Amino acid sequence: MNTPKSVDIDVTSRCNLKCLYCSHRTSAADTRNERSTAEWTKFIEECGKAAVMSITIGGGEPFIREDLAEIIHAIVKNRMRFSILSNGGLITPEIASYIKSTRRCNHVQISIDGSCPDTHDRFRGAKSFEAAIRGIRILQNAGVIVTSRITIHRYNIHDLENTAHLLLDEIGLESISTNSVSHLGLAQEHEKEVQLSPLEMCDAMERILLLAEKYRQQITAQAGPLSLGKAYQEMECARIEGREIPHRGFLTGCGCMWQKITVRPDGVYVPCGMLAHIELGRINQDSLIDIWQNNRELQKLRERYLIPLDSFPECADCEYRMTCTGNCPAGAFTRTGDVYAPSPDGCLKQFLANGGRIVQVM
Amino acid sequence: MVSDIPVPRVKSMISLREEFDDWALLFNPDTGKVVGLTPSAVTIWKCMTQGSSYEAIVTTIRDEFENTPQDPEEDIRNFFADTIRHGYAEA
Repeated sequence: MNTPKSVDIDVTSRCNLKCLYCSHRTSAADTRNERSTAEWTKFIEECGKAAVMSITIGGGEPFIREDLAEIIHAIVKNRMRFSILSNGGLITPEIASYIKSTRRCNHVQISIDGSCPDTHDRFRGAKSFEAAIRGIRILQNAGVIVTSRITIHRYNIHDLENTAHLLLDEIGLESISTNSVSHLGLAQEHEKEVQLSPLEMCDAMERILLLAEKYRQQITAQAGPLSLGKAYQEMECARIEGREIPHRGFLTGCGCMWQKITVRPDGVYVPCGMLAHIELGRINQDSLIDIWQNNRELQKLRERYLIPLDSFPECADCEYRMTCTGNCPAGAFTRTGDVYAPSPDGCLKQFLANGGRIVQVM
Repeated sequence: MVSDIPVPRVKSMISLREEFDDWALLFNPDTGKVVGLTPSAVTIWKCMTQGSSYEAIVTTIRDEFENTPQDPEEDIRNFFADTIRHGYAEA
């Protein structure tokens, strides 16, 4: 693409919560010199001129910024749409009403980890469930499209069915997505508490695959148990049938760098929020288009797809090699220190060796 | 002689997203809808945004595209109608 289709702007590192598995806090993305309204506005104008189509506003917690409405206004004025990622706790009827009035909001995504305070609040803090549900209701009352993200961990696996029922049936969201904890930020410090073991991952996969089947088209995932569960099924099927999967067998696990770019709270361009240590330039100093088209580090990341998996000793004799993408480069970096390597987190061979199994649901 | 056809007014919120291969997308941020444009359609759209007359658009298309049909006017008028029908421009 000539220019990024979308841009993620993490407008702040501040947050009203301190979730135990937060991938932002203490990570390379956790930068303190957040940009001013004028700086974000100027950058958003540049995005508009570059024909960027949408901006995702994240953080930290974006609603903590008092100038959020002005940032949104800049997006609207410059002919783009937007989405917001939030914990829901700071949403007011006024900002919800403003968001609706723009007619440009794709959705506001609210993080919900359980069907009740006991489950949700465990890692997110006291009263955070109540605040999140209130935020969802405020947005719905204003007519804003709301979606939700469930981060699956060992203390909410048992509650997945109830959570899906709450969000999709009772609250009436059109869709939700799921993920699991990344090995970033606070999650690294609390790994023993928050990461799923292979057996827990199997349990999660089974439950969420069944739920995805039940709520057709309404539950999606880019990572985590649902995504991996489906991927592992596909890989196993191909292995049994003796065939390769097109575009596999190389480090093809990430397509994000071809479509979007991220800006940290301090205004530094990075390939994505989970590769926030790779600094590509600075907004309002370095041209967005120039970074996108000519930055050497970004070009090198895009060429990951040329690296064959058989160049890695751990993959060379793997029976799944030609069905594998090598998974997320951020996962590779946080686990191995090398972004140009496969990620152990998504490795099916390791998963099976550590007690995992291919989950099949009927 | 080129007919005197009114050129639709492009809507100010519509964004033209050009790609490397001379194709482009027209994006309506109000609706989220996107439509692809061929290189000749891109040229017509740019002329429309610049306020070119119908006659100037016809001349530009004839000059810039080797494989232009003998009478590109029908294609140009059809493109005008499509932009209005899909909400990218108004009469």
